[in-house]
Amino acid sequence: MVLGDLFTSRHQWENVDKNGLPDSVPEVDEVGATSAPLLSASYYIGAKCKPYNDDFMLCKDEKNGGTLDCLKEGRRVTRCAISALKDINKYCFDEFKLHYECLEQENHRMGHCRASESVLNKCLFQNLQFEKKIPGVEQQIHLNQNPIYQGTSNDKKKTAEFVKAKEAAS
Amino acid sequence: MQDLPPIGGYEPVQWKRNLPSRGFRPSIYFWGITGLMAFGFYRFYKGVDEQRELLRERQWARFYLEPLLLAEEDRNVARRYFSEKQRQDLVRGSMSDENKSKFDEEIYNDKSKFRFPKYTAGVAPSER
Repeated sequence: MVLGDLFTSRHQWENVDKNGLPDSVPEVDEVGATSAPLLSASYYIGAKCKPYNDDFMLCKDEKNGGTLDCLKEGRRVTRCAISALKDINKYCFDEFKLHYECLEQENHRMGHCRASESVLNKCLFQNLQFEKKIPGVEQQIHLNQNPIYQGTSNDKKKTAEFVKAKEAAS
Repeated sequence: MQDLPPIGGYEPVQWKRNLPSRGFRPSIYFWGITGLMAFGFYRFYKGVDEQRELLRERQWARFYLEPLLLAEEDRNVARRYFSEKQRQDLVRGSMSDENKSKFDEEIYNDKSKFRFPKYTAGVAPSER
C-alpha cells in the first residue's frame, strides 16, 4: 500500500447502479427536458399541475422526506409535467422554441428574453387560456414595458424576424 | 537728442491679469450636481426594485419545477435503495448463521422513522 491509497479522491469511484426499479413500482416516463425548456415552461407547469405538485410536496412533508412513500404522487407529478409540455408543444412549439433558445443564449436570465416571452405568452393565452402570473405582487415584472436591465438586442431582433416570418406564412 | 515714442505709438500695456473664465455661478453647479445625483439614485433604486422582482420571478419558476425535479430524483434514490437491498439479500444468502444474526441486528434503537443506509459495501478502490 502506498501513501496515495489513503486519498480516495485520487481513485475513480464509479457510482453506477444499472438495476431498475422493482416490478412492484409502476413504470413512468421521465420528463427528459433540459433546463432551458423547463424554465420556459415552468409557469405553465406550475399553473396546470398545481394540485399534483402540492399533493406531492405535502406528502413529502408529512412522511419525513417520503422518498419511498411518495413514489405514487411523484409519478403523478411527472405525468402531469409531461402532459403540460405536450400541450405547449402541440399549440405553441415555434414560440416555445424561440423562447427557450433565447434563454439558453442569455444565461437563463428571463429579463433578457422578454420579447420572445411575450410572443409565447400570447400564444399560450390564445390556445391554452394560460396567463403567467407571479404570485404575491401587484407589479408583474414580465409586463414591465421599460425595464432597466434589458440585456442584448438579439432577442428583439430574432423575435421581430419570427413575427415577420409568421405573418408572411399566414 | 531725445528718444521719442515709435511711430504709431507704444503697444498697449497689459495692466489686467489674463485669467480664464470662472464658469457659471456656484449655485448652478450645486443644483446641477444635486439634480444629476438625484436622477442617478432614482435610477439605481429602480434597478434594485427590478432586480428583486426578477429574482422573485426566478424563484417562483424554481418553486414550480421543484416537485418535478424532486420526484425524478426520489425515483432514482429509491431505485438505488431497492437495488442495494437486493444485493444485500444475495450476500445474506451465503452467510453463516452467526454472521446472519449479526447482519440482521438493528443499527438504530429509534425505529420511529426510516433511514437510508449511509454506507454501502464494496471493494476498496486499491483492490480493483
